[in-house]
Amino acid sequence: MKSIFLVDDDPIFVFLTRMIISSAGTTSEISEFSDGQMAIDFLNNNANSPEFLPDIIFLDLSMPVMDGWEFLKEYVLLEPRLKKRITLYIVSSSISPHEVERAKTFQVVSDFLIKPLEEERVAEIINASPDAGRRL
Amino acid sequence: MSSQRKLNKDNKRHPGIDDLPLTIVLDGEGVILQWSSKARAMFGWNNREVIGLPFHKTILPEKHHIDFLKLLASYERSSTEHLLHRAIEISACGKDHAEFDISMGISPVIISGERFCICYISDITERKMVASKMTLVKQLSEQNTQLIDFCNIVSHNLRAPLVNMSMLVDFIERSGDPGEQKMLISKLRPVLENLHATFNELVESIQIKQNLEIEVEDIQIQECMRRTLDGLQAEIVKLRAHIKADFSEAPVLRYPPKYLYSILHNLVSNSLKYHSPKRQPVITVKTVKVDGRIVLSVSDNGLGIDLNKHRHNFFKIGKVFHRHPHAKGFGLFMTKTQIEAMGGRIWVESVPDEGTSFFVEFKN
Repeated sequence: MKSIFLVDDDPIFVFLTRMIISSAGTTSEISEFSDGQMAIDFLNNNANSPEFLPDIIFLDLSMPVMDGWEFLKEYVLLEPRLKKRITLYIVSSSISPHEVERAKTFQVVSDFLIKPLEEERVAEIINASPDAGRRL
Repeated sequence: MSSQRKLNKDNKRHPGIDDLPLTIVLDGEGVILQWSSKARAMFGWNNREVIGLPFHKTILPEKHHIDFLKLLASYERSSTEHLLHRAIEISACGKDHAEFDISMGISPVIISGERFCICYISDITERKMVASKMTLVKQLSEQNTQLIDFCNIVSHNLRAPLVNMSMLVDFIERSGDPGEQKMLISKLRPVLENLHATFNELVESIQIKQNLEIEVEDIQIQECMRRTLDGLQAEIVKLRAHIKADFSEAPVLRYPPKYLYSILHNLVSNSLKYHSPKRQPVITVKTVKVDGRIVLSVSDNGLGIDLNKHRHNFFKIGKVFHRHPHAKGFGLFMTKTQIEAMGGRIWVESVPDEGTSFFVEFKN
């Protein structure tokens, strides 16, 4: 069972992503964070507890309080300390090439997914994430 | 170093005699007495053609004639007063009737009891052109920024609800369960409303940018403030907010009434929305005059905000800095658009957990 963090302030989109993940035929445990600050606080507090860390993060860019870019800046600093290997995807409704380019400057970002999410792609991502991402 | 070379070097450092402005000497009635070779080069006439003619009728376009005559008359009354304390920028025309921009200063002199005027003139066409190009470049770069902002808004704020709608419709079509379909359909309404709201805000902001001829009136700020407070009455009572208003230093503003109301409403409702739960909200609204311009300030003792983090996108559309159910991030964007459309500016000062002050400077 994979653990997935959805960092997105749009409740409808979070609801739809849940539907997609479940109809992609995977069983996953999904946690929601409605802004970057909440997610970064959680990761900070649980950096040493791989059992609480996710396998995959789907990160929205436009959010209140701490947006996706601000989250990434802090995540880059935090990531080496996390006791689990996490795959992070940006999930944005933005189709601006400028943002896609900017995302490439972050090595921690595996891919830039443009909303709407496709079921096949989500299934692929969940199946591709390593089962034992635990770090020593 | 030889003295000659030293002189040359000095010549390079200081303006040479050729750089001095062109000089024309007039008598007390404004008739041309002396016409230099520089004047010939600039205006095209030689000495014989202009000496003895009235100065203004020779080189000034007709629209400036009356002003020039008034100037001369004032010289006659006060005799030794400077005609023009500083150079003015004015248009002139030469023999070929082409108008160009000059800078002109006039000094009166009295020699053996007789009045003369000395005009110093320089051609500022090039400088004006450079200046207007600079303005154009600045304008273009501002418009470019606005365009990029606009593209981002369309690309994100409009696209997000569209994506949600299309995903919902996909699920509705695929679902075979009427109960699930009904549940999915119920989720369409808020998305549609969101799309509607974003769309309306966008249209309104474009209208503000295009509406350069909006009507302005003399507004009693106190009166506009009263309307604002009426509109926010329920919130004010609920929060037991204390509102202090003082417009005695600048009670009247010439502005589009709709904009002023919208600016006051947005800033005061922001202060109410982001009050601190730890204390009774106190909001101070006042106007002061700074260098002849009216500056409106709205200060609160609310949550405040970390400007080091958020200064860059403070007034952007869709930016929200606190968790609040009704925060959409449109208010400040609209406020800024309205203020800038009228040539003013807005800025913010804030200390987290102490409060926020917004300042709006209006163009005269």
